[in-house]
Formats: sequence, C-alpha cells, structure tokens
Amino acid sequence: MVLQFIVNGLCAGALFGLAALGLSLIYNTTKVFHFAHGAVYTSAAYLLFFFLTKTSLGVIPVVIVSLALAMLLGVLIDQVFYLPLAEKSAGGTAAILTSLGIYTIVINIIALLFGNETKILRPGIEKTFEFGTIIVTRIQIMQVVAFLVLLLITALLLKFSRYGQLIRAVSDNGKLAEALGLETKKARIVAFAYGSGLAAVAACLSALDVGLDPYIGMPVTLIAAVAMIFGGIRIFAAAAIGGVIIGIIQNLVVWQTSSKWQAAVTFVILLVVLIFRPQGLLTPKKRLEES
Amino acid sequence: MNYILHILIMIEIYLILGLSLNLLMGYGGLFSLAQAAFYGVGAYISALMMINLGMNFFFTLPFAILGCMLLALIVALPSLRLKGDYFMLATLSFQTLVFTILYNWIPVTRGPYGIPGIPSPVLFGFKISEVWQFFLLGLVFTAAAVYVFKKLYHSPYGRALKAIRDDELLAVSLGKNTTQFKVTAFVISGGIAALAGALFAAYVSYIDPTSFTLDESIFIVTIIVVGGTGNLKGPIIGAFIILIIPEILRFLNIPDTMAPNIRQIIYGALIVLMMRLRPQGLLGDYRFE
Repeated sequence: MVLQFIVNGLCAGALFGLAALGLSLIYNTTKVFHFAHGAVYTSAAYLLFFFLTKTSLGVIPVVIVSLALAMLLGVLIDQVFYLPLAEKSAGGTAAILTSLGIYTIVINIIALLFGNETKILRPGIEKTFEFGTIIVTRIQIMQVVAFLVLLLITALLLKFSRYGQLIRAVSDNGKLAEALGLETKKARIVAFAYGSGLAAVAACLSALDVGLDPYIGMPVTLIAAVAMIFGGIRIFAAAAIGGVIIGIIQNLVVWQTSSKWQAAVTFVILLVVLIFRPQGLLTPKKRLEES
Repeated sequence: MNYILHILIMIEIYLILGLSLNLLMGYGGLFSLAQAAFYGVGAYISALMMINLGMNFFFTLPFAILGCMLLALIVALPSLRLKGDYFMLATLSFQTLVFTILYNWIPVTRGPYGIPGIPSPVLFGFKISEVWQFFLLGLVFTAAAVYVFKKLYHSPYGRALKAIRDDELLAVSLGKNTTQFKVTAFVISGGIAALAGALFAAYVSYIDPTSFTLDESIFIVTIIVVGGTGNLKGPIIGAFIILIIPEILRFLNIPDTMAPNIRQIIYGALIVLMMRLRPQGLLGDYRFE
C-alpha cells in the first residue's frame, strides 16, 4: 500500500520537479520571483485543450505547438513587463507585484474565454500497467520519463552548451557577467523560454492526466517555489529533486491522514526550511540573504 | 440608500485593512501576503465567542485583537529573520496554512459550511442591526484605526520604522534593534486587521473561509498599491477606488457571469500599470523597491 502512494507521489513530484526546475532557472538568472509562471502553466494546458478539441491535429504536433506558444508567452511577459522594471532598477517587490498582476490578468482572460469549470481531456480509461501490487497508468510513466529525460538534458545543456554556461554565469553574478560583456539580455530570453517550456511540459502532462481548470497554475507554482527553496536555491537540479520529494511527502500525508492536509504540509515544510535551513537542503553553508 | 451605505461599510472595512497593511508595507517595507489571515482569524474569534459563549460583540473585540497579535508574534519571530522574497514567501505560507485550518478544522470552524447566524452587536442594551447603524459603528472603528496610525506615524517609533525601511544598516549602526521594531509593526498590524475581521463578521452575520483566501490578501495589497503607501491618505483613497470599481461595472450592465473575471483583470492591470508608471501609488510617499 505504502509503495503505491510513493509511486503516485513520484509521478506527481515529477511534474512539480519540472515546474520547479523552470522556476529556478528563471529566478536565478533574472532574480524575478515569477508568480506568472502559473499563468504560463495554465496557458499551456489551455492551448493544448484548444488545439486538441478545435483542430484535427494529432497529440504530438499539438503538444509541440502548445509548448512553443507557452515559451513565447514566458519570453513576452519578461520582455514587456519585467525587463523595463529591471532597466529602471526597480527592486524585487515591484517585480513580484507585477508578476501577481500579470498572473491575475492571464488567468481571468482564460476563465472568460473557456469558463471556470474543470475540463477533462482524456477520453475513456487510461491504459494501466501492473508491477506486482503497484498499478501505474501510461501517462504516469510518461510523466516520470519526461522528468528524467528533461532533467538530464537540462543538466547537460547547462554544463556544456554556450547558453547554458551563459545562464550559469549570469545566475552566479549578474553584475560581473554584465561587466565582462556577456550577453545578459540573451540569458534572460533563454531562461524564460526554457523555464516556461519546462512548466508547459508539466502542464500538458498534467492536463492529459487529470484535466484542467483556470486555477491549476497557482498551486503548482507555489509548490515549485517551495521545492526551489527546499532543495536549495542556487543548484538547478536541487529544485527538481525538491519537487519530487514534496510530491512523495504529499502523497504519504494523503495515505496517513486525508487529502485535505496536503497543501498545509507543503507550507509547513517551507516554513521549517526557511527558519532552520534557509539555504536549502542541498546547498552548502551560504545563507540565502547573502547572495 | 442602504446600497450606498453597504458600499461605504465595505470601504470602511477595507480601509482598516489597508491601513493595517500600510504599517507593514509603507512604513516597515515588509511585503506581507498574510493580511487576510489575520482578518479571518479575527472574524472567527469574534464570531465563535459570540455564538459559543454568548458573549457581547464588544467584549469579544479584545480577544480577537489580542489573539491575532499573539498569532502575529508567533509568525513574526521566525519570519522576520528572512528578507525580501523569503519573508513574502513565509507570509504566503502562513496565509495558506490559516486558510487550510479554517477550511478543514470542522469541529471548531465548521469548515466550508461557515458560521451562520452571528448575532448583532449590542451596545448598552441598544441593538445594532440596521445598515446605517453598522455604518456608524464602522465609522467609529475606522476613526479609531486612523487615530492609532496617525499617532504611531508621528511617534519616535514610526520615525524609527521609516528609518529602518529606508536604510536598515544605518538604523542598526545607530543602535536600533531593527528586528524588534519590525516584530512590533507586524503585531500591531495583525491586531488592527482583526478589528476589521470582527466588524465584517458582525455586519454580514455569516462567515466562511472563502472570504479569507490568498486572493483576499492580494486584494488588500492592491488597495495599497493603487492608493499609495507611507502615509495615511494613500490607503484611504485606495480603498475607495478599489471598492467602487465593481459598482461601476454593475452599472455598465456587464453580465454577472463575466463581472468577477473582468473585475480581476482590472485589478491585475492596475497593479501592473502602477508598478510601471507610479510605484508610489496615487498619493503615496514610498516607492516599492
């Protein structure tokens, strides 16, 4: 029984991990606390829904188009709203408020266009596989595979690609990177495109599994933020692993009590980490505020 | 007439909430997303004491205020060690936790069913139940809040808080215990928010957790952002503007199914525009950094 909950948690956590990895890339590169990540996430799910129901394209082209448009939305939000603030050197609070405002606008436009009710994308019953006593659905396997593959690809890109190295340089010390003549503006675009893409993958996989409504984005973003801090803010992979751990803890809580305390546990974790280990579990020594 | 008075009462309630958040954001420079939590806990303490213990509304007020101040103290001590984004996240977690508890602790709060039949306040045998009577009661509360904050802002404490907001390091070097100042601000702010909560519970006579969500906290932040911070007039004008917008929409004959979404879009757009064009709000003295 407990194994089943851990496996379910792993699948849910894989999606949190993807969203958290995206958020972490954006936060570290631009220092914007990007609540509108949730708006990008929700938009991706609704783009998928729109193209699947209104066109006759197959699932794979539809997913690709939705991902591309979601990435574009992420970059546009940054270029139109955050970048001018950064250029005026307005601080974090102005950016957070702006991102809350953008989130509200996008979500309510979606609600106006598509309605507030939950929509289901999966026709009929999902194919399942049994491993001993554990049952997993095909989409759950896809969630975990997507997570592992994207985590590996992201790690390799960050390590070896030109833009990956640029992002790491800017995250480490934005001012120094700029002084050295690195293209920090390009790093922003890449971080927002790639981070939004990761969130969009999670959104599509979640929408295909449990459906969608206009409010799915915010809880995922909050969990992603918790995962980012829980894992350790300056290591990108730590955010992803934090997401998986939170997914598993949430499902263990469901197993032990009931689903109604799921959200509470996530935030208790955040409070405990913030108070006792603000640098995150995997980051050594340095405190967050020092950076 | 009752319609106008009703709007004015809601403005009074949000004015008190706006003023309480102003102490944190405008004077302390602390971005909190937990104001609705204190508002809610205040409302629940007052309502539950009136119903379960049969207490008079006015006697529940000290308990609601002190209860929220205590809660604020417990939250503030660890959270205020954090700065900027992390303090905001800690208050956000607290807000979500309070909502989850109000929603799920069914034996006490009745969870999603809410608390119906909250009795009218009785003052010296005189029952406050008409809308205009609530308007006057709200006016007294608002005046009290304005008075407290006016005194506070002109006191040495208020000036020290401003100094910490503008340059914490300098304030520390002048021997100010900055954490203590910030904790005090958080505690006072929580207590005043509880006052608004008690007024709200008595006025609408029914409360449920959906009035005290994260969205509500963001709504209170909107008042401050639009009106301005760092002085008294900012939150006051903000509360008027933000609460009159839905009424204007009502007269534009927007269908009921769309009105809430359009209202939210306007609020979102207002925040984004203010941050870009006028980060100190309409009448504020302090820019959000």
